Amino acid sequence: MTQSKVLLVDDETDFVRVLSQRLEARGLEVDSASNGIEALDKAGSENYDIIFLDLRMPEMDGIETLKRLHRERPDLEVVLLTGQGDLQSGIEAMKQGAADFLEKPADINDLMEKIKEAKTHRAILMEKEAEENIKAILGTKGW
Amino acid sequence: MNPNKGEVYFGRITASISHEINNVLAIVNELAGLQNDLLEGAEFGMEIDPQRFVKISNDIQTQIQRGERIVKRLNRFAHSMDETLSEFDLAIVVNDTIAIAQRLASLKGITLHLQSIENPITIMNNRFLVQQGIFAGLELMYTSNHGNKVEIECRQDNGKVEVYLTNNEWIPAEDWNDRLAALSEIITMVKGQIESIPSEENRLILLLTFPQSFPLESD
Repeated sequence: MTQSKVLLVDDETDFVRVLSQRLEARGLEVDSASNGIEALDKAGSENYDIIFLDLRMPEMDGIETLKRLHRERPDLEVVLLTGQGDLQSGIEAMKQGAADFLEKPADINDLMEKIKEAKTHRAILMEKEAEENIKAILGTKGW
Repeated sequence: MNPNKGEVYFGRITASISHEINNVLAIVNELAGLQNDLLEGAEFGMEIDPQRFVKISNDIQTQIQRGERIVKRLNRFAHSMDETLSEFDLAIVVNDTIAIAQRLASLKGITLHLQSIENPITIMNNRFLVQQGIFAGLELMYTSNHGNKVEIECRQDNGKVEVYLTNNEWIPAEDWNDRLAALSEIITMVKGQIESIPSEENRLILLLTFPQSFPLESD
């Protein structure tokens, strides 16, 4: 399997810095964004296996970011990584298409598990897409 | 049963502060985890760089100091309800309120900038309501701001204290009048005054005046 690519979206720069180091030490490629606008920009130009998204951020909150991310890239796996007080918003985000949510402080093993699940999910999606493309080509050629 | 305005305000402040404390814990959690990762790596023969441990240790210390400041602020806020009338330093209340409101203002991309404050500013009043009034004033200003800054200035003058909240790119929020009326209600309870001073272009100053000593019935 290729190296997983992760985007951390959170305005707590110290949190992002240390968590990035820990994920990188586990062989992942990690990018970060400190607000929703930056996250949308990065997600538009890079192919991430998973995005960990905080809910309370300046400029654009997590729910709005999630909606826009899914509008532009419905295939994206977004997991909320949020403070306990945001549990209600976490449930709202799940309704908006978030794959899951984790409460901060989170266990690194739980994050790794989510990354693994996202990678597997994306691989299945890509396989299905490839299968459909082949079927479409075969159909066009009349084989 | 609908909560009253004081309860709503209390809930918002404690929710915001607990969110800040949670952020500190999340960072400490990652720093402790990083330390653990390095030690586990050493068990598998990875070289340990003592400087990394010093850095982690310093970072934990920084977060603990941040946490202490937040908890002290929370503690002062909780004790603001102890007495109906008390003597307190308004400079501390203004600083605390700005720190609490800053997190909420920055979600809208706005910085609360304290221009000047004399220290100390001793006043006798209801600390909880005075802080609620300043918070409501700040909130009114940052939600009606299309720029990126609200300036705050405090002055003592002839038995009263003036808190100037200046918005250089003021565009009133839809509920401006309702919020202003709610703020006015709080300021009246602490025997203060409120004045909105429009000046050039979109600049608006909201002036909150508090008596240095709460006028009692017999006064």
